[in-house]
Amino acid sequence: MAEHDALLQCRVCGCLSHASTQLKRFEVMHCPRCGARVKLAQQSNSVEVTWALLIAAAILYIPANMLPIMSVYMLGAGQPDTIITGAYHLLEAGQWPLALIVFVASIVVPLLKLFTLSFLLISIQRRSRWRQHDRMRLYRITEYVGRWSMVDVFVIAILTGLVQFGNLARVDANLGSLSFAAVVVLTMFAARTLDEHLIWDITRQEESHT
Amino acid sequence: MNDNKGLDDNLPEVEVREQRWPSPVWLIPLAALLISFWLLFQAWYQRGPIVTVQFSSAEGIEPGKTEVRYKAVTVGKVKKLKLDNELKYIEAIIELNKEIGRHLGSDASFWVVRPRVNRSGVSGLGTLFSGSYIGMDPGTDNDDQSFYKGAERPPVIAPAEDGKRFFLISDSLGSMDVGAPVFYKQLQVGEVIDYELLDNQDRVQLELFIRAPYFQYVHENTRFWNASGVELNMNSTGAEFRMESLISVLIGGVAFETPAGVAGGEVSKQGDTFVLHRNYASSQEKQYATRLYYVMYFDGSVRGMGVGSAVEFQGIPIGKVEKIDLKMDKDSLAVRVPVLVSIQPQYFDESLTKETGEIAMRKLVEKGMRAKLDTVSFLTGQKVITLSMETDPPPATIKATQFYSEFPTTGTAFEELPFIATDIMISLDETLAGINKLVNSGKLDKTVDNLNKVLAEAEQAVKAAKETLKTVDKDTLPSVTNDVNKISQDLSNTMQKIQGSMGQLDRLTAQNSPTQHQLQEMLEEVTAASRALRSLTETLQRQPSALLRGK
Repeated sequence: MAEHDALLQCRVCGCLSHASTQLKRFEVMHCPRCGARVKLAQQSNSVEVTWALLIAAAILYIPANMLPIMSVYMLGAGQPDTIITGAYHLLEAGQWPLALIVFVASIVVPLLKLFTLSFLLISIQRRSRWRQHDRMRLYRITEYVGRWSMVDVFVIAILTGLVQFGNLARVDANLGSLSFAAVVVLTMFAARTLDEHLIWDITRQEESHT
Repeated sequence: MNDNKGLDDNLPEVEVREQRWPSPVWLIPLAALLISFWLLFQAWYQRGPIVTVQFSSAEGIEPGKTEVRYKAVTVGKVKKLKLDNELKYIEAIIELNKEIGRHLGSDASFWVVRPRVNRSGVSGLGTLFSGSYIGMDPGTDNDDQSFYKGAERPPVIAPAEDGKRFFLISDSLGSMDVGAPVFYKQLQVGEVIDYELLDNQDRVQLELFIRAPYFQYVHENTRFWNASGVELNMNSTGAEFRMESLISVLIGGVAFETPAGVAGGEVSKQGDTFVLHRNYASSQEKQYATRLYYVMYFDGSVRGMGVGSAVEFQGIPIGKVEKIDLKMDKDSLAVRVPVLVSIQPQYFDESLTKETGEIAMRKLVEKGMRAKLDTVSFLTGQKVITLSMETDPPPATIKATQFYSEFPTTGTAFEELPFIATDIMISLDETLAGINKLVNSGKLDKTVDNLNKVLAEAEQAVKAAKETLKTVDKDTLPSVTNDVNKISQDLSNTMQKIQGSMGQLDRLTAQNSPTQHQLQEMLEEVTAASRALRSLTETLQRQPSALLRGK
C-alpha cells in the first residue's frame, strides 16, 4: 500500500507518477516524461537552500561590518566610515536617536535575522513541536522586516548620486556597502526560501498517521 | 477510489537518477566566502604602515581628520593622538597609504602645516579651509621605522630642489625667520632654511638655500646683508633710503651682491660660511679681516658720535667706533670717556697683517699721527674721528694698557677756539682791572708822572693784549673779538635749529609717535582680520549649511 500511496506531479509537464519508496543516498527523482526534477514534500530542499543562503549572509556580514560603507567628505576633509563608526559619529554629534536607528537597523536587525532564521531551521530539522504558533509569528516578522534593512543601502546609493560637489562635499560608496547589501538580499532570500509549513510538517505527519 | 486505482496503475514509475553533487545553492555561500576573503584581504593588503610621530603640540591636529600629505596628495591620516609618558610631547598615530609605506625610510620627516606668512606672501592658505595637515617627506633610504620625531616647521625646500646651501654668521637673528627670502638684485633666489645659536659664540648661524642657477653668483667675496626693514641713512653726503622689498620689510630677508670693483673670486662651494652684514651700507665697506683695537680719550664732548661712527684718514674711512663708555677714576674722581675704535690697517697697505699693522701704526704715531674729533655736518652734528699727521705735535706713543692700547689724541681747531677766546678775555680783563685799580687808587690826580705811568701801563697792557691776540692769527687781529662774539651768536642759532630738527626726527621715531602707532594699528588689524577668517572657516567646517542659511 505504501508503495503506491505517494503520487507525484511534475510541475513542468503535469505528468503524474508513482514516487519511488526506496531512494538511496544521492538518488533523486525525475519526471519520467519531461525529465524535470520532482520531489516529495519531505524531500523539499528548502532547508538546505535556506542554510546555504544564511551561511553566505553570515560570511558577508563580516566584511559588511569591517569595511567602510560610505565616505563623506566636507570641505576636503572626511573619512570612510564603517557602520559602527558612522553610528559612533552620530552619537558624538549628539544625534543619539539617529545613532540608535542606524545601530538597530544596520547591525542588530541583520544579526537578529541571521539568528532567528538559524533558530527556525534548527527547530525544523529537530522536528520540534515547541510553540509552533510563536515560531510562525517569528518567521512572519522576520520576513516582513527583511526588506527594511535595505533602507541603508538606498540611502548610500542616493547620497552618492546626489552629493557630488567635488571638494565642497562628496559622498562615496565603499565596498562595505556592497557586502552589506548582499547580506540584506541573502537574508531576504533565505527568509523567502524557508518553507513555513515545514514548521507544521511534524504535526501534519502525525495527524495523517493517526 | 477505484478510478483512481485504475488510473494509478497506468501511471509510470518515477525515474530515479543518481546525483552525487550537492545542491548548486551551496555555490552561493562559497562565492560569499571567496568574496569576503578577497575583500578583507584587499583591505588588509592596502593598509599601509602605522607610524607614531612625536610633536610638541597638537595644535591643529585632529584625530581621524588631519591628513598626511606628500606633494599635496593625501597619503595618510592621523588615527589617534596621545600624550607621551612624560607629558612632554604628543604622539600622533598615523596610518599611511600602502604606496607611501613602500617608500618610507628612516630619514622620513613629518611636519605640521599651518597657515603662515612666508616668502610668497601667505603659505598654507588652503589650511584655513581644510584645517592643518601634516606634511611628509618619505626620505630616501628604505629602512622601515615606526617612530619619528615631527618638526614644527615645514622644510622650506622641496627635497628634490637643486641648489646650494650656505651659512651666514650674524650677531643676532633680527626679524629673520625660516622661509625669509634671499634676494639677488631684488630677485628672490632662495630662502633661509634654518637658524641656530652657535654654542661657543654669542652669534647666530643662518642656513641659506640658494636655488639653481643663482648659486653661481655667490662668490668668495660676495657680501650678504640683512635686507630686513628700511634703511635710512643721513650723513654728510645726504639722506639715503633703501628697501629690498615689502615682504622683506615684514618678515625679514637677506640680500647678496658682489661689490663692484671687487674681484669675485671663485664660485663658492656648498656649505661655505659668510658674514651677514647689518645693512647694505656696511656690506659695501671694504672688508679686511685685520682689525686693530685702540682706545681714545677726547677732552671735549663726544656728542654727535656713536657706535659705528667712522674713523677717517684724509676723508677715507679706515675704521669705526666700536664702543663709547664712561669711566671714573675712584681716587681722583676724574671722569673720562674712553672711545674704543677698530682700525683696519690694510686700508693703508693690503699686505699688512695684525703684527706688522700694529708696528706701522706705532711708527705713524711717532711721526705725528693723532686722532681728533671732527664735525662732519653742522646739520646733524655728526662727528667722526680723524687721524691726521700733526705738524710738530708733543711727542706721544701708543700706550699699551690692560685691555686696549691707547691712541694719542689732540684737540681740534674748532675745539681750541673757545679756549683762545677765553684767554684773550682773561688778559683783557686783567688789563682793565689794572686800569681800574689805578684810577681808584687816587694816584691819577696826584701827579702827571703818575698819568704817564698809567699811560705807559695801559700801553703795556694793550701791547700784552696784542701779543696774546697775535698768537691766534696775525691777520684776524683787529676783528677777532667781534668775530668771536659773532661766531658764538651764529653757533647758538645754528644749534637751536639743529635741536629743532632733531626734535622732529625724535618725535617721528619715538616709541609713542603716530607713525609707530599707525604701524602697530595696521598690524593689529591684520591679525584681527585673519582671526575672523579663521573663525569663519571653523564655523563653515562645523556647519557648512551656514553658508546658505547663515549662522
